Amino acid sequence: MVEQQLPGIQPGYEIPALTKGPVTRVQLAKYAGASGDFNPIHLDDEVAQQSGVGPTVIAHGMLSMAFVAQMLTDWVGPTNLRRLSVRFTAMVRPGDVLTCRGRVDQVRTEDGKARADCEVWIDNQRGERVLTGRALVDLPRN
Amino acid sequence: MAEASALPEEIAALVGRESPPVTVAVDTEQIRRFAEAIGDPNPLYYDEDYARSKGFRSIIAPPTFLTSIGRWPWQRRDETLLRVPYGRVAIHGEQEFEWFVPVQAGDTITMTSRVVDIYEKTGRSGRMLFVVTESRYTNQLGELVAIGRSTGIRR
Repeated sequence: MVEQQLPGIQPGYEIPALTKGPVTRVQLAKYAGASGDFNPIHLDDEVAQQSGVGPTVIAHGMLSMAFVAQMLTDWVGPTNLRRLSVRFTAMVRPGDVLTCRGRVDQVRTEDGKARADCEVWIDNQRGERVLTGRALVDLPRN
Repeated sequence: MAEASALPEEIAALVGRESPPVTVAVDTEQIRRFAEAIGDPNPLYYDEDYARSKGFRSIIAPPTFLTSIGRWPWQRRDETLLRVPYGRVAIHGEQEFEWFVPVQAGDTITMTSRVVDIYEKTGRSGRMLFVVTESRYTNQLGELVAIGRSTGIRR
C-alpha cells in the first residue's frame, strides 16, 4: 500500500513558523483564569522578585507550549498532533515576542499512517531559545 | 563526609503516590476562554456547527487545554500529593502530552495523577528538586484521551 502524504513533507521540511505576542500581562491574567494556574510568579511582580524569578512576572510555561502546539495544529490540524514533549529553557516575560519554528526529522509509516517526527523550538525577540521540544504528528492524506 | 544526595524521607515517599481521580465537566465556554487566552483562532475551538460538520460532537479543545483539569480548589487532588516541602519557588521544567482522542465540549474528563520520579540536582542557583508527575485523562465513554508527564522544579 502506498501512503499518501502532505505533498513535499520530507526530512528537513520546515514547518510554517508562527509568531506570537508580544506577551502581555493581560494575556497572563487571561491564561491564569482559563487554566486555573494562579501561581503568583505569573501575576505579581513582588512575588516574582521574592521568589528569585524577578525582576518581573514570568509567563506560564504552558502558554509557550500552547503556542508551539498551535504552530503544529495550524499545520496538520488539531487531531493529528499525537505527541509533544517540551523543555522550558528560558523565562518568558511581558513584552516578549515569540517565534515558534520546527523541522521534520523523519517520516515513517506507523499504524497505517504517515507520521512525522519533528524538532520544535521557540526563540524570543533577542534570539534566546525559550523552549525546545519534539513532536510526533500524523500527516493528513490529501 | 558530606552526604548530599539522600532526600528527606517525607519527600522520597511521594514517589508512586497516586491522587484520587478528579472529574471535570467540560463546557463550550471553558474551551473558548482557553482558546482565546492562548490567542488561537481555530474555528474548531469556537464554532459548534463547524465542529459538528467535521464529525465532532461539539467544539473541541486545544491540545494543551488538559492542563486546566484539576487546578481549581473544588477539583483539588489529594493535597498531600501536591505538597512537596522543598524550596521557595516551583517552576515548570518540562511537559509532555500524548493525545489519543480530542476533548469535546460536553465531555466529562477524569484525571488521575501519580508521582513517578523525584530527584535532586545542583544547578547554577543551588540545589533543585525535580518532581515528575504522570496524569492519565479519560472521558465519559471510557476512552483514554491523553497522558501527560510534567516535571516541576523546586528551588
